[in-house]
Amino acid sequence: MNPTTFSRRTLLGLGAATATALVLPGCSAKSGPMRVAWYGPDPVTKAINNALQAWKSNGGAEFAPESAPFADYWDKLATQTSGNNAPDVLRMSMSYFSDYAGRGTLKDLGSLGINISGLDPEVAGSGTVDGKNYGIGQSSISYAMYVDEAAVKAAGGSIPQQGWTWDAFAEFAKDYTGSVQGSFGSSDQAANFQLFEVFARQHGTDLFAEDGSKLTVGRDTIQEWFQYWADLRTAKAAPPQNVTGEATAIEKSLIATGKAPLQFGWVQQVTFYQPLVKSPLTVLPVPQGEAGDLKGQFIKGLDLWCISAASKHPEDAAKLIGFLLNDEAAIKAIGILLGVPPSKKARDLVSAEADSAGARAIAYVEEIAGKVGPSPQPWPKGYGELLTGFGRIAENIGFGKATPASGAGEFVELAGKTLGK
Amino acid sequence: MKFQPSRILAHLGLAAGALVMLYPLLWMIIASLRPNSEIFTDPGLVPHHPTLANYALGWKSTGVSFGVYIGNSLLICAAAVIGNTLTCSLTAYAFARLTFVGRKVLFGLMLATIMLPGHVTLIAQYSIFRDLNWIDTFWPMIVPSFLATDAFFVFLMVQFIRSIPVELDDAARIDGCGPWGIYRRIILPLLSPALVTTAIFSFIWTWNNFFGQLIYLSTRTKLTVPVALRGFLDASGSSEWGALFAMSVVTLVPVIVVFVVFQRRILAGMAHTGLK
Repeated sequence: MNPTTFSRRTLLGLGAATATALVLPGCSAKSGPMRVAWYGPDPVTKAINNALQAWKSNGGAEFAPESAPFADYWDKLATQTSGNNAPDVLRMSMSYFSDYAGRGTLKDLGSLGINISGLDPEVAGSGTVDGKNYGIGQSSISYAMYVDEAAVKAAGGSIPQQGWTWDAFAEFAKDYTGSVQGSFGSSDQAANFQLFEVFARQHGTDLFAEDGSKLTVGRDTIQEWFQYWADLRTAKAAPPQNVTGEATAIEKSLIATGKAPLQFGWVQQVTFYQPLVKSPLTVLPVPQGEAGDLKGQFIKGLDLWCISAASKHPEDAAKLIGFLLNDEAAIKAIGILLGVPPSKKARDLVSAEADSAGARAIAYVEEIAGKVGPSPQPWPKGYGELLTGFGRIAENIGFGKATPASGAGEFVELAGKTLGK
Repeated sequence: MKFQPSRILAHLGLAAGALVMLYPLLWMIIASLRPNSEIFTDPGLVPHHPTLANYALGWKSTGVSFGVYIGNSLLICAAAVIGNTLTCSLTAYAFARLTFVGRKVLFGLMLATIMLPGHVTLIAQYSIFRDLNWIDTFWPMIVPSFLATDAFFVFLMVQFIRSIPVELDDAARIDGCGPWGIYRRIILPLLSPALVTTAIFSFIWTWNNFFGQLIYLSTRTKLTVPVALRGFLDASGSSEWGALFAMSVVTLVPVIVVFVVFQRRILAGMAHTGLK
């Protein structure tokens, strides 16, 4: 977007704007059909549209769908919310959830009678803040790594059943880099704040205090993390920063271009990577401190269905959310595009296609369910800012403009400024 | 013809420069002819398996024909062009030629709106359009251009009109023209280079205006080209790069046509208006 053209086109004469604003607030917008908004790539949009068609043919209330890619969605939703015109049903990401819930823009769903009896308890409670439920999880997801087993075997390596320990992973990555020309044992994950959350929990603390007011993970743990990846880069087990900087989209990732045998991400994203890799991807837990100890990982609903506080159709909105979570046709239409479905019933319905990437993702979540640690509180207000900041700091370290020690200090400082406001 | 090494060198230099400038465009056109899997894995400029599949896919894949988006964009652009040329010239005429109370203050205020970042007015503007019930319609994109809200064009034309000799107005007045007559018979014809400049930039800026169209339009059949193009990309999932590039190429066509057709007049307009 060209900022000049933007400011030019949206420019209304100040005087005219204020004059009209003074005249108009009396008349309010008439309430049209219930609006349903979500973010996601094209397949997600098609899937939700199909689910909404099922809602319509089951006699559900009239609705108007709105969808946008992830980044644009938040610009639009922020404008709509401050313009008091937010959609009735909306898809909310945990990254922004506390910002919206904390400002009172989401409705407490407690009294609306949405049927969540079949849902995994961690997911049903993912949107609970101060005893009020502002959102219901759409999926049960956990962090994972996807490994191209064929590539690893061709290089003479093997994959441990329960994943690696961090030390063993570093060894593996170094060995792999040596054996295949022009490739790396791992992509560089130093900037991956969400993987770091698991790492932090393996070191004994959650990222944030229970009330989200401050960072609880220690500065030395952050430094250790940055140092771990710096060492991998030095050993050529992970690519230099300029390579990482270009591998920003899924299609450009090192695993898709054949330059690394593995990738990290939320479990359901394996279905986006699989079409780009010829051999099947194995879904594994992320590296651990002690072999087989998965307490650092957690299962949570990181995308939620919410109803905006100003909604004029709260009952219909609640019914629709219940429908999307529980109806067989809706479950089938959505499949695992929003993540691994949050109930046993739904997982059984969509895992029919055996040995697809989706089935492997579902099997992974069921496999680790009993072994993971308790799920953390919703990410605090300002999480989005920390997410970006963490990536920026990691990048500076990668380019040699900062050291792991100074980067860790910078992040602690940033967190101090951002949290608890 | 005499052999002039300096000229040949200069041309070679220019050609190399042009190639550097054109490279991204060339790359995009070629990428649009490649299967999705080859776009980022093959860095060269030669497509090994050229295909038009991306065009067919992109045109259809959103469930609404891409032609609908182009139609919507053209409609908004046409309105912006007509609105801006008419109302901005009228406003400029008033500021440049008529005397009325508060002229200088109002002119200053208008210039101040050029300096105001759009984000500042965004929410207030959104609320206004919401109260008018114009969300998810084309009106927020169309109506402002009929109210001469684009202060830049007004300023451009004020400067232009000031360079037209006042004696022409006087002569017209002697022949019986009122303010309207002077505007229509004297100012407007002489203003044509500035009008063309306004028309072209209105078109291009509106055609490329992503943010306003993203905020105000939601229904799929009402989306415009920039918003629809963004739909091909999503960092949280797989992106349809091939379709994106193919439709970007298609999207460039109207802009290039407008530019080629009006190119001569743009240059003339720039020379006249001091927009060098």
